[in-house]
Amino acid sequence: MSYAVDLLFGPQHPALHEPERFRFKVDGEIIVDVDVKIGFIHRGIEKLAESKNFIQNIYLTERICGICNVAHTLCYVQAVEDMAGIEVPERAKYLRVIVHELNRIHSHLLILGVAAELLGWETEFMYLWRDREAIMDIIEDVTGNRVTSAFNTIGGVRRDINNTQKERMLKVLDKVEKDTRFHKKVLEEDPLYRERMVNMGVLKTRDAIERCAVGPTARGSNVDYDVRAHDPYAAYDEIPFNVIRYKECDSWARMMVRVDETLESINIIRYALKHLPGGEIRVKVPPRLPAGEGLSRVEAPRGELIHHVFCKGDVKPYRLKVRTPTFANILAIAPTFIGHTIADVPAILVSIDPCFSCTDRLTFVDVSSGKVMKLSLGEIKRMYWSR
Amino acid sequence: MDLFKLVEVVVFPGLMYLVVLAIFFEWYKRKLVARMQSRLGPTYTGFRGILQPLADFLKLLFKEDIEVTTGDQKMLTLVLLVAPTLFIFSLFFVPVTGYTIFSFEGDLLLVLFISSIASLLLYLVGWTFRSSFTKAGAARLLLQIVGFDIAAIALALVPAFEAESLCIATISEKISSAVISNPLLLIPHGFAFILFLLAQQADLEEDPFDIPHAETELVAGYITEISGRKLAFLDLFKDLQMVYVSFFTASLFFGVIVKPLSAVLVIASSVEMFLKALLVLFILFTIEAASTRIRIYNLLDAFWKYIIPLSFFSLSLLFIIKALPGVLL
Repeated sequence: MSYAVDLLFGPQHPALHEPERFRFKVDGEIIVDVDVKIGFIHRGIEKLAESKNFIQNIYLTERICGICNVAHTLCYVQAVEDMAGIEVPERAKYLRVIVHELNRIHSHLLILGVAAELLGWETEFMYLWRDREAIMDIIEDVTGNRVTSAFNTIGGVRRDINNTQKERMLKVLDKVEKDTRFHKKVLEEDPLYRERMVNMGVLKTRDAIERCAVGPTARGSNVDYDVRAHDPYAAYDEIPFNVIRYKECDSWARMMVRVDETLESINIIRYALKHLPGGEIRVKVPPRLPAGEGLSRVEAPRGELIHHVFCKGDVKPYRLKVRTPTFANILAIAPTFIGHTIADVPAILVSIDPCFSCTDRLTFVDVSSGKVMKLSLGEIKRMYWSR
Repeated sequence: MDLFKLVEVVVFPGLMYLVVLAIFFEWYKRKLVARMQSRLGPTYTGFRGILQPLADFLKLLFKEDIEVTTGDQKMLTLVLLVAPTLFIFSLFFVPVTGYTIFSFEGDLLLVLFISSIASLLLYLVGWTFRSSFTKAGAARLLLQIVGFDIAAIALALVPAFEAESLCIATISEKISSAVISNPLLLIPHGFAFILFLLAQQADLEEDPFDIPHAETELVAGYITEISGRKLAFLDLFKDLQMVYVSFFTASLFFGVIVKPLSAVLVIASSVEMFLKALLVLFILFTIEAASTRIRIYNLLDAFWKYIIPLSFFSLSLLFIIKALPGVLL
């Protein structure tokens, strides 16, 4: 007989940097069941996108996720370009790759630091974030801002880079590579870190494919799946790189995929800078686009990101649909909590690099009849206050 | 009790000196760990932020005391009044300045007993609330105490047997000559010192043993529901524990150079003890900065499978070395 009790993780909890609720059924310290509830930070961005024009939506989609902002703008502009049949100049494609990879490096170093902090290893957290600052500086140098810079635009990019910036970037990349190699050694060899991460949340290759895991989560489970390699966009068809995979299928493998991808991204940027073609960086695009439908897939730092745009021949999209990687990964990872202890929850959760604000979806369902409803804001308010 | 003794108890090396030390050690910890993590640590208040812990303490004293209705506030207040007192009382037997205020043959056992009671009182802090986080934290704390306390007591007996005394002041006086006269004793002595440091790290709840108040798992563990004045006194309690651990370890394992025979020498020996305490804390905080938190199961594994058997091993090694000359001759 078990005496399972409910332990609530969230919506507010120090291990969660964004509000989301996990209801764990725990027997002593062992988790016997888990229930994920998303929807605490729903922002209605897809609906808002319908009221803004195509250019304004670049700034909106950028704010879906602050950390992988470049992936979101890139995906969105590619979807619009796909819809309108716009051909982007070669130089713009390479610049998109450079900024996209810089964004990936910063995101990966960030989550590696957060993982260390969640395991109580503040020193490694501080070191990783200190080393990440160099990348933030070159992102600012190239795009004009540390985080949200709206570098990509429909038809190309908004800024060019010159030789001085190139030199600066190469110098910083050398330093970041050295630092990352140091951190790789530390994370590979530290016995206490391994103790906490190895064999945690094992997601078998078969399960990862069945549950549609994407990105580093899938590649940590030895799934050969990377949008950059298998459905190349921007200039990825011309740039050689390896798809990093780990056979261990656990939290540790998922984190090590990120370390190795950081090194791989540095090589991609070096190659792109070396082979940067000349010419224009953007083509002019009219504000009113023809009716149509466009889809784009991008390998965001957290995994495959999809933007789907409909247009009825207007300055605004008729509908914008976004599927973010965490939405796929969180369902894949949820069953792996079972059998572990409460102390392992942060270690498993952080390994998918959760980003909940991009994940949240909202549908009103009458639980008794199973009917899906549409409610306006006024109706929701009235229902809330009448409770 | 004469007036001189009263001044000793209240001012130096008693209550006030210990509280000042506690606040200083808190700053030392913050600054040291911050510099190890390539941060600045406290900078604003006083010389290099040296008054920051005092400022934090005073600020907490003036904050609103939020009393959780499901908690037993009377019990909590009692615990938080008694617990710091226990450490201050046990520090009277430890040669903080090179000599002790009170001393008798067998005070080592009393001090070990009192420090165990003080750790157990923390468990009551968590147990007075009906929150799942404090409950889980308190349960973990209890498991942790069961882990490290036995090892700590067994290991504290190693220097006691080396110096052939159960009085802390006598041990700290005799330990260096005892070890020098029989250099073989360095083996169990070194063994015991390393293991004792680990046990004390678990007592202080620093990484890798900060399991009972693991921030990312249990919010703040057993401290979660405490605020205001009560939190201030809990912090003071943790700082006094730091003072106790550092001076207790230093006096048991390091021996003394300067003997406090006159007033000038008292100052010299206090500085000596202080530096030794800083050394102990330096080792502990280096471990704290360099490690991740382990799970409670790993802790119990580590202590019951390795550290407790090893501590009894070093104790028996000591007996063998002590008895060896007698057997051979």
